[in-house]
Amino acid sequence: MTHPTKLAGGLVCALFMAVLLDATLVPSRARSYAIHYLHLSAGKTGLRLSNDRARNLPHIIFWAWERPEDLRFLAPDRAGVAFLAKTIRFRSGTLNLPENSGVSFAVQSRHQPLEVSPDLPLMAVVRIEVFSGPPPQSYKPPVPPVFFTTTVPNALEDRLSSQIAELQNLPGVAAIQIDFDASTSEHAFYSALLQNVRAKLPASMPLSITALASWCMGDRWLTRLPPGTIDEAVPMLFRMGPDSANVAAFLRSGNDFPVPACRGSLGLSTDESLSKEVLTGKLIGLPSDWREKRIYVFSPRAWSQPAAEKILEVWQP
Amino acid sequence: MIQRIARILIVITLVLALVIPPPSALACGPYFPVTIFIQTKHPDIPLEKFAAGELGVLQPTYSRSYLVVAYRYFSGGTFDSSEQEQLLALWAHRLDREGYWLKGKKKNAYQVWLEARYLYATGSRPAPTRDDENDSPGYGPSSSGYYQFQNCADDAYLTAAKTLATRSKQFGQRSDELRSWLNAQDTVFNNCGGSLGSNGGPALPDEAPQQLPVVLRADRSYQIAAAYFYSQDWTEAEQRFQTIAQDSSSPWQSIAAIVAVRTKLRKITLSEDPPESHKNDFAAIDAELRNLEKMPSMKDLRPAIWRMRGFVEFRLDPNARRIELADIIEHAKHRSTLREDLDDYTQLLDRAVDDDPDEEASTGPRVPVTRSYKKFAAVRSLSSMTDWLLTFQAADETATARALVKWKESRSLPWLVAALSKASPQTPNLPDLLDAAAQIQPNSPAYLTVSFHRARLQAESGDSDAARQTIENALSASSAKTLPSALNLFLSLRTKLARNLDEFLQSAQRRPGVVTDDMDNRDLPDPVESCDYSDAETKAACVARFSPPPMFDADAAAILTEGVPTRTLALAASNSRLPENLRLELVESAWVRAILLNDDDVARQLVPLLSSLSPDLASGTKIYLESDSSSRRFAAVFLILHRPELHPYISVGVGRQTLPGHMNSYHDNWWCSLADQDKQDGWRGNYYSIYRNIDGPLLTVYSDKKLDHPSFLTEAEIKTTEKEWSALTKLDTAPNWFASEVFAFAKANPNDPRVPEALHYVVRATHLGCTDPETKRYSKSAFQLLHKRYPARPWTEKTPYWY
Repeated sequence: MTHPTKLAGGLVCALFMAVLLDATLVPSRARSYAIHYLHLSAGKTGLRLSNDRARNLPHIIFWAWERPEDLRFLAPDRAGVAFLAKTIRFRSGTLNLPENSGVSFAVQSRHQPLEVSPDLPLMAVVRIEVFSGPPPQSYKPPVPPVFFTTTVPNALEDRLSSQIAELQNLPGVAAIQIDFDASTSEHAFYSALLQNVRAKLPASMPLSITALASWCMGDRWLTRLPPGTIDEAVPMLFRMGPDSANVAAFLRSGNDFPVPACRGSLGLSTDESLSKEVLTGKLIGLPSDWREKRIYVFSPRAWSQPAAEKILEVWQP
Repeated sequence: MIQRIARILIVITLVLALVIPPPSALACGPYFPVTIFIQTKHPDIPLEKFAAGELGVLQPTYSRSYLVVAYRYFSGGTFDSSEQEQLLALWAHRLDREGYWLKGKKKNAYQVWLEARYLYATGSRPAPTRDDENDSPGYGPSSSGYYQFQNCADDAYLTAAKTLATRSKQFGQRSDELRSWLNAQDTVFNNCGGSLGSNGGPALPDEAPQQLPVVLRADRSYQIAAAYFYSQDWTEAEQRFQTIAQDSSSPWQSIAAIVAVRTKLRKITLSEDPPESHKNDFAAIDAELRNLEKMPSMKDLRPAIWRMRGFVEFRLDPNARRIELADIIEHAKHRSTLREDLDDYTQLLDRAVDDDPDEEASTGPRVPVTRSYKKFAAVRSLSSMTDWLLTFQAADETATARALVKWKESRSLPWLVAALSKASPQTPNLPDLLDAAAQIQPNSPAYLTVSFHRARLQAESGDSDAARQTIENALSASSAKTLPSALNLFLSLRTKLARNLDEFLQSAQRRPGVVTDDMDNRDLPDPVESCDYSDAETKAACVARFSPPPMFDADAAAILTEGVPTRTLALAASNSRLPENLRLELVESAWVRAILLNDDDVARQLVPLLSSLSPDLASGTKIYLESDSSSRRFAAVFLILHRPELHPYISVGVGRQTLPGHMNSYHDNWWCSLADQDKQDGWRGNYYSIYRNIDGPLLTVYSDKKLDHPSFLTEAEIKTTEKEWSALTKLDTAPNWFASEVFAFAKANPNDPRVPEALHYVVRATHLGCTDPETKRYSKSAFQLLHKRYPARPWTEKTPYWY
């Protein structure tokens, strides 16, 4: 062994020991190093999930929820619209039944008008809700439905994914988004559903999901999805309740989300201070390159042109 | 060599364990129970009492549909039972509770039709829906495809069900005639969900064979016209309906005349053009409807015509329609279209004053209500009801002056309510107002509102005795005790006027109207069905929310925390008039305060009561009592460290939602710094600061948000209170305070066996307690002291991180 080799080996050992010592004495700092390092490597090695499909989605997307929306003022080259197209409701507890083929769900299509200019990029959103007790306003046949043709019911994921995937046929719809605040016990079902939906979409069509902040920061179940299942997970930075303090603290730390799928976009609202701080860049500690992220913006009331313009003006890379 | 490799692997594994972060305890969309003592967006639930005229203390922040109802009652009007049902239906719809509140009251129209089918036509094919899992039968896709609209309305299904029953009686349940009718009707409804016939066009019933009875042939003509209507062939549909409208032998003659107009209307509303481009069409349709309305043959169908006219005029001339509706609602009796009238009127009013109809209808207008009162003088000018409504809601001086002027002019009850609710001791002619208020009898719908403001003004004018008497009269002579919001508002005022601790505590304990997760921000109770948990304990806790025990509202909690000395708190804890849950809250708070303030006497005196109300604490308090003076304080700190539910403040409402002795994942453990409560800038995990704010209707009692010491305290007691509060506000947030106390004890008593455990708990507190920028330093110090001085101890091994 030559002297330089020995010297280099010694240096590597010393460096390793220094890091080891530091990590032992200051675990918080060690964690920070690790997060930073893992982020870098994730970015370099293409850990981001199939973002190629999502690349062409607009930089700013307005959520159009279940209220009359006239968004004809939006120019196709400036923004897109993700409109609530369907709401699907389940009774709580039914999703985890070992045999779920007989589980029923209620589908309500959008009932409120949506007006958009012809070439505007559109994303059809499906919201999935789980409720306790009997479904509100549900219809139940008064006697066994003797008239209905009896067919062998398909698995729940299959029936549900068909309901979602058929939205690809709506004119101008370039992507599908699923909004489901799945609880921990529902993650396995949701994972199967996402894979089922993915299989029914064209290879080029992006599949986006909304993500609770915890999915992007702590509970990393999304990373266990097969690669290419989803194209983005939009961290929802509003309506977080007391959790908003933790999320705000995380954002101020300057770190990006550890889960790669969450790094391309943000879900914001026009009526919450944290969202406003992110939008206007006033959130201390927020890296400036976050403006390269795609944003989805929710408004608690119908969009007006001035309100939309304000967003378009402030969120520029 | 193998040993060396194994050692390296172990080291690397340990390093990785430190480096890779543990899963965070972030929650999935948590909702925290909200305790509502006084409703602000709508009256108390259930709304039946309000609809029947039990108005409680009317709040200007209620959505306008409730204020309209109050105005009509104040004006001497009433609502018959059918009108009350309509009000409830409108409110249930706006609050998105139709499925729960109207369950059993009104059947789903589609279900009525299917039931009729099953009853009369067993064995034949059913009316198809677009999808068995689609819960919106009757809805079809819009031309753009992005949304669905109600293509087959409820009345279509109800009319079909009624006709089926009639034809079944006429021709027999198993007759060919009925089967033929039913097949045709199924085909008609096949168009509802946008399905098409076999040829790709509308699904059309066959023309009626000549051998069918005349009435069935007439039915068939109507069914075919309806099929064209639902398949959106407007020209053909209108033509066919017009033909039927000319046929005096058809039982569908009158309805067809209306549906012919409706066809024109549907064509316009489903077109992609903006509504403004159809002004002339709307005007023509309106004229047609007015003509139809005058025809004697249309007498029974007038409500249907009114609804269509309402729809048209809403778009044709919103201002005129708003004024007309105000007049109708104010004066019309036994109105079968009250629901639509009230819905349209309030929506048009929202638009006229630039409020968001969606927000107002569902959650109530924001405060301050009715921005720019002066600006909307024109809106107010042509309707006395609208004038009253906007004036009552507005919170500016112009509105206050106008309310007084209008009352002087009219001497009417609505304007007395408006003037009183805005009056202050400086209001000119206040004695006149108060005299008029005194004349209002308990059977008046305005009695509670007037009595509350009368008592408030008496109190603000310094006549506490008169105010107390007014409150007692109101509570004993009315339904206030069954209306939680009204009762709690009176109790809040009576708390302020309490002459001794006993009176104070009687009024301070209040039963909330609602404890709710409030997921939709509508301040409504969760549906009972939401307690459908399989876990018995969770289910029991959920069900218990529907009959909550007395609790403290913000005013009482803040006064007991900041406005009385610890000894008074201790005295309150022993008051047997209080329920056990509140006595526990008081004694825990008093004991922690005594410890924080080094008031050993009070702390020791409280131990028996504390142990009896919370037996879990008995072993800890016993050690505390038995400790000598050098270690007694540490015994208390050690106990509090183990009990994150202990804090020096009084909780508002349901308070902490975690079992005693267990850590709350959302930092609701122990306390935050009590400094500068008014300057707390929102969420910092400071639960006391968040909930102790005087807001909403409590501002009518504490208009400047300022809470005084109770009037029964002596000067010496006030001085003690101020001294104690000053000392408490200088204390650090709980985790930092624990650290300081434990470090000091550990320094003096390094060999005390409790020290490693205490250090472990300090580190735990710095994780999920209320932290500040300094906490990290304390956490690190506790961690290092534990690992350095007490290596390889069980508590040390349980402490792998600092925070």
